[in-house]
Amino acid sequence: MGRFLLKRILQGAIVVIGVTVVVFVVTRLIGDPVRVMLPLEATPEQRAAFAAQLGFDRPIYVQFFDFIGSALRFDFGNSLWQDRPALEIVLEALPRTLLLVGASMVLAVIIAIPLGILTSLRPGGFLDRLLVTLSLTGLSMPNFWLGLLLIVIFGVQLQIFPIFGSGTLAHAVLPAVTFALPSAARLVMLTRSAMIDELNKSYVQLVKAKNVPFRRLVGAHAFRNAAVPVMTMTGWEVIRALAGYSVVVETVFAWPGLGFLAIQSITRQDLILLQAIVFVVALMIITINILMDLAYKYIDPRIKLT
Amino acid sequence: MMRSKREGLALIVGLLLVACSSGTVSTTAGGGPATTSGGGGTQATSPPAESADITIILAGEPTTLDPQIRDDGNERAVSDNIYETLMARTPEGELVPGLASGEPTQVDDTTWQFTLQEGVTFHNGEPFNAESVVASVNRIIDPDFASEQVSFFSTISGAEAVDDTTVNILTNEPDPILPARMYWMKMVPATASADAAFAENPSGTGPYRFVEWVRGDHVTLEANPDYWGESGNVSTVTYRFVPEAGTRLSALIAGDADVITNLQPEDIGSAPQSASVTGLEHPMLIINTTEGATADVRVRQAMNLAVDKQAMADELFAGNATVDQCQILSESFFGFNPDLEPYGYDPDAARALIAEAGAEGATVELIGTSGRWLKDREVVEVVGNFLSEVGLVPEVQIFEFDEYLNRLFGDIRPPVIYVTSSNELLDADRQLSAYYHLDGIGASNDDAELAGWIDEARSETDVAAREGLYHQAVQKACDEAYFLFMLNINDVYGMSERLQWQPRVDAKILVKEMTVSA
Amino acid sequence: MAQTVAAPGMATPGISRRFASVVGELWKDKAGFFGLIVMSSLILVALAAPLLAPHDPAAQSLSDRLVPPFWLEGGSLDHPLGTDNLGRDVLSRIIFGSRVSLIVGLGVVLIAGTVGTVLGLLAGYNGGRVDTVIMRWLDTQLAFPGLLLYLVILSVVRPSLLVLIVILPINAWMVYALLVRGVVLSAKETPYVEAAEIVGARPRRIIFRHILPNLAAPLLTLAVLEFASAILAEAALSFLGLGIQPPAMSWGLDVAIGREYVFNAWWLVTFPGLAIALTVLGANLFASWLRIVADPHEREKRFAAGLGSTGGRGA
Repeated sequence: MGRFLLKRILQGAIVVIGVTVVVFVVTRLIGDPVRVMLPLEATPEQRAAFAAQLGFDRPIYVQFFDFIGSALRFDFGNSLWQDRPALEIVLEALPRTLLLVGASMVLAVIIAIPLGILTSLRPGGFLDRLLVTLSLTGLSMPNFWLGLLLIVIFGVQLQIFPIFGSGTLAHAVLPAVTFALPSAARLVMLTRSAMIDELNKSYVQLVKAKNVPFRRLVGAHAFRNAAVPVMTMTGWEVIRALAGYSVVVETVFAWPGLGFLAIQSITRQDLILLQAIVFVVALMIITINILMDLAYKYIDPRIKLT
Repeated sequence: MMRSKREGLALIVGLLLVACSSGTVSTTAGGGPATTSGGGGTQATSPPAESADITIILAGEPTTLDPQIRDDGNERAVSDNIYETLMARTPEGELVPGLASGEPTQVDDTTWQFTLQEGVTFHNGEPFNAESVVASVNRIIDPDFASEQVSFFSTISGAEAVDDTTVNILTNEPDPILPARMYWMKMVPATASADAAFAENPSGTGPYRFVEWVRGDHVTLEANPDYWGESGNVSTVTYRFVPEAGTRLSALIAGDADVITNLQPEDIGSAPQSASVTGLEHPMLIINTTEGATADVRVRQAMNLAVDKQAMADELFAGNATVDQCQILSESFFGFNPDLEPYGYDPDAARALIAEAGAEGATVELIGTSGRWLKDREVVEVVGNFLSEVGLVPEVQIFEFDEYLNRLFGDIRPPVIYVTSSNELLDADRQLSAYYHLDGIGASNDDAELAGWIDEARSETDVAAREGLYHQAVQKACDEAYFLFMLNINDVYGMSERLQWQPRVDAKILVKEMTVSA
Repeated sequence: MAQTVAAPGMATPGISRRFASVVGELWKDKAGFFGLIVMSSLILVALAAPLLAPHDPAAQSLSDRLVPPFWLEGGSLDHPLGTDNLGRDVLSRIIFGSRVSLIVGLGVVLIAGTVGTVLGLLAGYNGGRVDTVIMRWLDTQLAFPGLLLYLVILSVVRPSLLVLIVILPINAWMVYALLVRGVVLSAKETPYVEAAEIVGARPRRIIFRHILPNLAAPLLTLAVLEFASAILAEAALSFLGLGIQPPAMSWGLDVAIGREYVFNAWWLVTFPGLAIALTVLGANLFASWLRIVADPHEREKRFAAGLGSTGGRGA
């Protein structure tokens, strides 16, 4: 157990350093924040002075070690764009992304688990085919397109939901639905597949033979075993969202989460903020991975942590 | 059921209103055509409300509410209502005293003297006086403060208080446009602005004072009961931020907003009310005059003749743009030359000129960017299409903004590059220095004579002589076709029916000039 | 999915009979058949684009901007699906846009598939230190915020078709490696491979004769799914402005352009988006059918489809 944690934390450290190096190199070597930030009509002297003020005129390796040193203390410096601590900005946006992902996962689970179980009861039946095809359709729609269609239908034509911003829970409905649809589709398939496997297993056949009511069988035995893949899936969706998949949905709905922030810091060449975002995201992904492994162990003690 | 009932009611009310008013209001503001139009047309009949709360949707969130550090239009949209400047402008763009009690006087070559309004206080109680002006000036020009606005104040070397209501602004060299520069410098309270938390607790002398800023969501301001000037009937204003033009419009239609910025010209018909006013932005193309096919003046002239600018204004901008008069200056700018005419649309003449220059089939690289300015990519694509019709082979390249800036400011001048020039000071110096002057950061010519005139004008204190130099300079650049001159585009706002507001040529969104009908 | 191990000798009962049965099976599975139709149409349309498109997709006409589709007032059959913001024909742009999707899809699948398969074979067959290194690398890379890094890289490298084809496999190779490694590991334990090793057959021979045939079906299925993923990824990146750049054409880019006009020209967003969705759905359906046909275990479930990391990994 201790060895496992140590190993994972070590691996995490490698990832964080790797990500940091990649982002640092890519942005510093090629981008130039000063050009983007000053008005077009500013003179070269003004630009040079501004760069010196921000420390961008120092040798690149000095900037790098300086950055690594302060990142380890969670001090990323002030965002070039908003002129306040970058970490503060990231920590403001993070809960909004988590809220969006959380809401969409709840939605996905509520929709998908019953449907998945339903389809698994009669594989190949009409309902099964219909739901599987629908799920595939859900997976096939580009989510920026789905988001735009939802905006046009529910926001503009019917005016049921607010279509931008993040003030109330109602604001989260359309982006959460957009986010939830592909997740729900994947979850239907996964639940279905896991349930079919479980229902076919000999112990289930045995229980069946013992005349245990079928409903109790599905509820108690099979689903408990299917819980592990479903949990994997949930964790995986959260990681996916953090890893950048929230960018598109957040951009479409102007949802001020991490993804939207990332795109904005890219267009504004806010290297400091971008580094903070990537650093925090990498850290979160590693933490979630470790937590998930521990959760497996808790749910199913037979699982070995390696 | 509820829904349809409500809609039915709204329809009936709407019909009644249309029946008793003209439906369209057209007004003209200074520099160019400004029109407001909309289905309501209730302005004439409805009395103003006692007080009202309005919502304004901007295209982006302010990066800060410190009015001196950033060069950020979204910040300005809010700060312009909290803070004031020594000089102000009328909605038509004329420079008039603001916090100054009268026109400034030039004491000597490098000193401008301002007298100040008396009895004005900041929202936090600090008095507005000569000391606050000195503090504001010194703060913004401090190199350690690293203000992005320094380029507006590059000639200012300091300020000194003469007495409590008189202040001298000192410059490095004679600076005829210092009064215009002071129109851009917001006055901050001396004590509070020294505090690190000033950006979160803005405090100015303006008609609205800060209430709250929920990051990522909204900024709220309320009317300043002690305001020294006149104000409308808006009691609180909430700013929200939506980058998508379509999303802003749907919020307006849904009744969640009273003003939205940057309404797409195509969407004017969908907005309850809209207003369009000549703006500060001039999309244009900088042509490389020293290398390649475009080094030949005939090719450059042909390019100007090849583009149907009127069609672009009418179709692409749905009428919300005017053709530039062969200069990248608006009528309201100091230095505008009224005698110049735009190159007409004459593809045959263009073809002939290109043949004469032997440039048929010459490849011309057209560089543009996407998403930075209104229809920036479309403009370049359309120009490319026009150029291909007169025998040139345009190679359109749309770069991501950073790479685009590489080309725009690089030492190797691109053959043709798009830029939208904007001039908040409404004075020719800024644009001419940047794009006409051979040392300018975005200039692609080597015309020393032209550069000489621009240098001369910068320190010429005689107004008429200075204007003459600018007229001469833009005339030459027009004849030599150093640019592909195009359009001056309008700022288009969407408004709710209950709002009455005449947008300004300087693009400031001043809530004190708005009235809400009951 | 890695448990797909059939004895290689089992599947050779006369080519023509087998083909007939495959077609028959495909016909029975309407969804799979639909998928095949969509996939082959995509290829046909992309190849014959200049013949099929009614207009030059780049031809502008400022006076014919935002013309609606033919069935709406103001539309005409001259522009069946209407025109865009510069008066270009929407249908022609969709037809030509299929080329980008096809090229990106194929390019990414080829590169990622080759790299992933080779690394998977190395890891699975050699085991030991090679396996450890490759798997450790893979684990580490899985923890990278992949799309975020794409965005950062694409914001400084000028994105283009070629850049996308090179960049997308950076993440896409991993699924192939995992799949191949799994298949190789289970194949290694089958008696005939063990026997071949004992009699001293050369490793390369073992791989080619005994292991690769087992890989064909699952690899093909995965490739089709990943083809769909690549198309979605390209569309999403282009939509964000970090993919294909104008004046080049792409469905995702056209949706991005149309987004500014959702109020008065809904067709600009709708049709290119529909093209993406249809193509991806076709690929997914085809893959799900392939999987059933190729895998007796899955055949039992009859209708199973892409799951987890391989199922429609779109952005």
